[in-house]
Amino acid sequence: MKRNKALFGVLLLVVMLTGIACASFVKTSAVILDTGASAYDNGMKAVRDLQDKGFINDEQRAKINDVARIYRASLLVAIDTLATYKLTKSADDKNKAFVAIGEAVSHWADLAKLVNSIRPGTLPETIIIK
Amino acid sequence: MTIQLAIEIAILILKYGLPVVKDALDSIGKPEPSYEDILAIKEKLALEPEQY
Repeated sequence: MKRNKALFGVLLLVVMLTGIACASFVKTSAVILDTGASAYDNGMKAVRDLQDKGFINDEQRAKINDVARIYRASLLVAIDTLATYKLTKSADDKNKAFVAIGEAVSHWADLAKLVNSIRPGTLPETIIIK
Repeated sequence: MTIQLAIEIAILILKYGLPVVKDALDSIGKPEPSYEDILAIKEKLALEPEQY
């Protein structure tokens, strides 16, 4: 009887920790994506301002738009994969969401590098979590 | 023997699961975002780059 209670306790702990780990992944990922989306919006507003002030020409702006389009598309994919994982909770979907978020973060670095090469210090090169 | 094994497993879980528990404790009070909350992030991406 005592043995069964001890084993049940361990099993319960495993189930609880698994649940906590899943919840943390969704919460943390959502914060990263939300921050990444705000970074896109604020970053493009900053680019617009720089262009208005004459610091960015049309050719540079076209290049920025190309990289920004890739970043935006990767964020949209990452949001969809995380939403899918939220529904299914499958290991495969979690892995897809993990990879998609990683790709989005790396595309942000590409965008920030390009903008900063034109006007240093305009965008942070990593997504800063609020 | 079984109880000893159970205790050893529990110690291992606590040892390696503590960072996860810490994360969970840090986020107490903040509910996990719903499916709709996650999709709502897309609103901030409504504009294409050339629309700025």
